[in-house]
Amino acid sequence: MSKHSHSPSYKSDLITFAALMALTIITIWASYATGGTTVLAVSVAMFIATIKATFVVRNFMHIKYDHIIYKIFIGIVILLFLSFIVLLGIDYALR
Amino acid sequence: MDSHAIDSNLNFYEAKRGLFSWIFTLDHKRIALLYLYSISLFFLVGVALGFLMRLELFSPGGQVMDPRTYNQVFTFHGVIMIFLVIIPSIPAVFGNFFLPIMIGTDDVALPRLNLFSWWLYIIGALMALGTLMFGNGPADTGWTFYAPYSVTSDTNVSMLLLAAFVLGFSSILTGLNFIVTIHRLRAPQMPWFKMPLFAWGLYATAWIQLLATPIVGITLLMVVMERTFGIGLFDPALGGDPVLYQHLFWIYSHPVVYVMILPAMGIVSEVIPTSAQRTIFGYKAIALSSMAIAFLGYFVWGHHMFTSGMSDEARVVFSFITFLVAIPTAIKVFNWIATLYKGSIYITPNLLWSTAFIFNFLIGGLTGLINGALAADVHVHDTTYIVAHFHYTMFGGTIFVFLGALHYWFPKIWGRMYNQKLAYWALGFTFVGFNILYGAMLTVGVKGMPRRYYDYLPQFEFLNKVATVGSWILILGILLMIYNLIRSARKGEIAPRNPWNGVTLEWQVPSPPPLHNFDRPFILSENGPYDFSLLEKINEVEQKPLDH
Repeated sequence: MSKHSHSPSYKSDLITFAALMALTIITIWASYATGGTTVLAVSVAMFIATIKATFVVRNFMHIKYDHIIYKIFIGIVILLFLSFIVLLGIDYALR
Repeated sequence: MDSHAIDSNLNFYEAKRGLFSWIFTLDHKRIALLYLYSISLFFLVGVALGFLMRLELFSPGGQVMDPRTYNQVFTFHGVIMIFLVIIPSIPAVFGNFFLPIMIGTDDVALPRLNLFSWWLYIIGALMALGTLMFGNGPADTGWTFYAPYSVTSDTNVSMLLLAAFVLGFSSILTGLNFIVTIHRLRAPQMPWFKMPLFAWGLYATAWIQLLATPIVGITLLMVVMERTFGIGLFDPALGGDPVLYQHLFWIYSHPVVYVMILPAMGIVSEVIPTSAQRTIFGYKAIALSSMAIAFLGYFVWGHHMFTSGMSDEARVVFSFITFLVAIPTAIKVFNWIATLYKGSIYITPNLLWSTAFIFNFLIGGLTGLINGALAADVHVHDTTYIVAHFHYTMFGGTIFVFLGALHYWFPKIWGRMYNQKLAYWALGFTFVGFNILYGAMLTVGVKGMPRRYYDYLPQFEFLNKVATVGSWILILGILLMIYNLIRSARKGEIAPRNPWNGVTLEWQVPSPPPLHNFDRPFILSENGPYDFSLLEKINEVEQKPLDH
């Protein structure tokens, strides 16, 4: 990490933790509101989980404070993962 | 130049002694040799199992084993050769030994992690061997562990899956180590496009190891969970989807064939300029084609599943993307041939192993195009044609280059020269035996012989006999090579620093290298790593071979 970058603080960690807890509660509420095991329910759960994962990677794993190269690497991995989902989707949606 | 350089009279064998100095070493060269000896041992086990399979198929009907044992033998052969030999082979042995030297540093970035990788490899290997002794015997599922049979088989599948899981971690950590090493420890005078092509091959490989291996790790754990707790993931009887297993398995297992072949292509890109005594043709094209293969390799897994029940649209998409991989692969082959054209070629066993690789890999690649073509693949799928195609790429490709690299860098690793006459004979037997064996399997597969079958119809007998005789010639070549290399490592002529007149950095260090690699400032050209105008200057350095 660069010497000039900002350091994480307890305050920001606590805010992130609170956000994660709130999103967990929303996930549970959404599962009831959307019917439990429907496609909509799973999609909403995945969407919220993605937001939570973003918080974890940015704040708890300190990517927010790191060099641009690590952000690029993570971006490539996310694109790769999305491409897997698209290719799998071509099979599952059209089978 | 590294500031930790030590007396050149103390090579890495002599620096420390005793068993513990080896199995707890942090020196990348010693760890490389630990991998080499372990992998060689498992290679011989895999060869022995392959030999037994060919004996069984010599004639129709039972020959030397029963059908269940045959299933277990081909499964264990596959698991050993894939997870314990080919995947770790070139990166773990030659990558570990030569990457730091070739980029001008004294070790990998994370030496303790490097040692941990080897220990994980050993633990995974012991777990795999443990399946022979516990439960209902070794797994009989094939190395692909296809569900739902892998969920229902009463053999020792779970332990073998866990072994593959542990071995996957070893591979991930090696890849991680190489990425960090290449990013952080390259010599200051060595920008990206001045890096040797073997390092480029390892870099592309490392990204696949790092990003694809976790997928198969989780997938294998899911099968264990399904077997242990009855969770319905892949078994239709439990509400699962077996095609999903194949998707997840091949999302890793197709890119992993590039883990096996990209470092091999990197080595060929080292051997050919040295043998032709000229700079490599199309350096950037070869370097970037490694990255292109690694990238495209992620999107073609579906061509393993054309007959598995995927949607037609998905099959067409995967077939199209598969053909794209041929482009960067062909770029490499054309550039290698262009490098040899009008070069000052020194014929050595090193070069012949590489040209044998090009020949075999061309057959492997062209037969792969038939597999990639949707309409053709459905006819040859699950025949011995597929087995032969796979062996043409993995054995004729990766293992041939591995054995060639063993000859190319033999003087550097052991500080002695090998017997070239015996090496030619060994290569000849290996090459001829290999092509008889797998050429016959290609042909009998096109005629319709299914793979993984214990017995066959009488019309397939002649070609199966030919294949079995080919396996004997192949094994003769391998045994002759092993005899030659072991004898030469003990009694061969003392090797100079630069026996093949190479110009990359490993030829500027003593043979064998000192503990911290460099005993004097090294010479780097501004024109890239294959600038042969520097050869005279490089060879001027004092040649003080060391006996050990």
